Amino acid sequence: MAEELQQLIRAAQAGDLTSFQRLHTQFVGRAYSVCLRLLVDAQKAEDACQETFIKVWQQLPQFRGDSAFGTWLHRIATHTAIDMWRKDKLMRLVDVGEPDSHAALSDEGVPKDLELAIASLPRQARAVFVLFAIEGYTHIEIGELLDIAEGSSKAHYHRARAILQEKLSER
Amino acid sequence: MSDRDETRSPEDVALDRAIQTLPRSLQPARDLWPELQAQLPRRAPQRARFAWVAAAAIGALVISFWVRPDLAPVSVPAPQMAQLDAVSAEADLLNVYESQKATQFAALNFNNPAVNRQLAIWDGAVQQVRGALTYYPEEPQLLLQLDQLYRQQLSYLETLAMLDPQVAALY
Repeated sequence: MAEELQQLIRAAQAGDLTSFQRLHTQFVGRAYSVCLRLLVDAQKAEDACQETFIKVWQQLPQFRGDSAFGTWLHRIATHTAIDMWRKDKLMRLVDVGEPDSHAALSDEGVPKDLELAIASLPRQARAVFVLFAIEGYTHIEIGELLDIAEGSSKAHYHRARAILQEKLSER
Repeated sequence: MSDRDETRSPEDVALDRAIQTLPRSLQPARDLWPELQAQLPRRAPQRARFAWVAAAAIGALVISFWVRPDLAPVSVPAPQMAQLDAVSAEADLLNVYESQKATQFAALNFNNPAVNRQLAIWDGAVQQVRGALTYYPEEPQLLLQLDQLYRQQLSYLETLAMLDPQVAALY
């Protein structure tokens, strides 16, 4: 399996689109999940996902395997989604209105209640919660990613947890 | 329930358990590949082409050692094709060719300033190509030029080595 993945990566590095398509099939779900949970909008998540794979294609020749391919790709997806999340934040200053998070997440199976509760969190708290609790980033890393202090990240996380517990207890 | 669970509120424990059940991968509602493929910037398989050129040049040199074992240097590096990349290809070529050139030059049993001048001209050309390679490190044509310059030098030295010393001194 690992050897097959290495072969796909090497072939894609050499410009083979078929191999890149197979990598896309294998990793698109992981990339899309972080994009969707951060952006809470299926269309924006798809755009971020596409941008992620364009970057991966462009940077693939420089990929040396210092980290696992999936980790490397997921990092690009996270950064891309956060960039879009930041732009989205600026847009909201002139156009207030939450995306239809129900539409974005309602088709996804399992724990729908929790997914929807996360999607309805205040955006900063949501981003911190997704990155810390689901994606496994530390508060220091989140602080760097979101340009906030480590302490702020922790505060957002605890606020997010409190809101989620309240929402889930109501259901 | 773990020891850690016992020190926390039931709501906290329930939330953490719910988070654990969240899927790590969410598939987009539609196939993103066709659209992505259309957006992918065209990328020539530079690395593979570059490695191929270097490997071919070194391969040809190794064959010449086999045909004329008397010309072979004491130790010839045997780079593996898979290890060649755009970064190391230039170094590999230089290593092999400079070694061979030094061996052939040392085998000449005469010293002629005209020969040194001629070799200095080639050295100047080699430096120019190497300078260009610093700006375009993945340009196969430059590597080919480097290869040709060294081949010319080796051919020149080989011809001199076969000449009678008295005749060669006239060159």
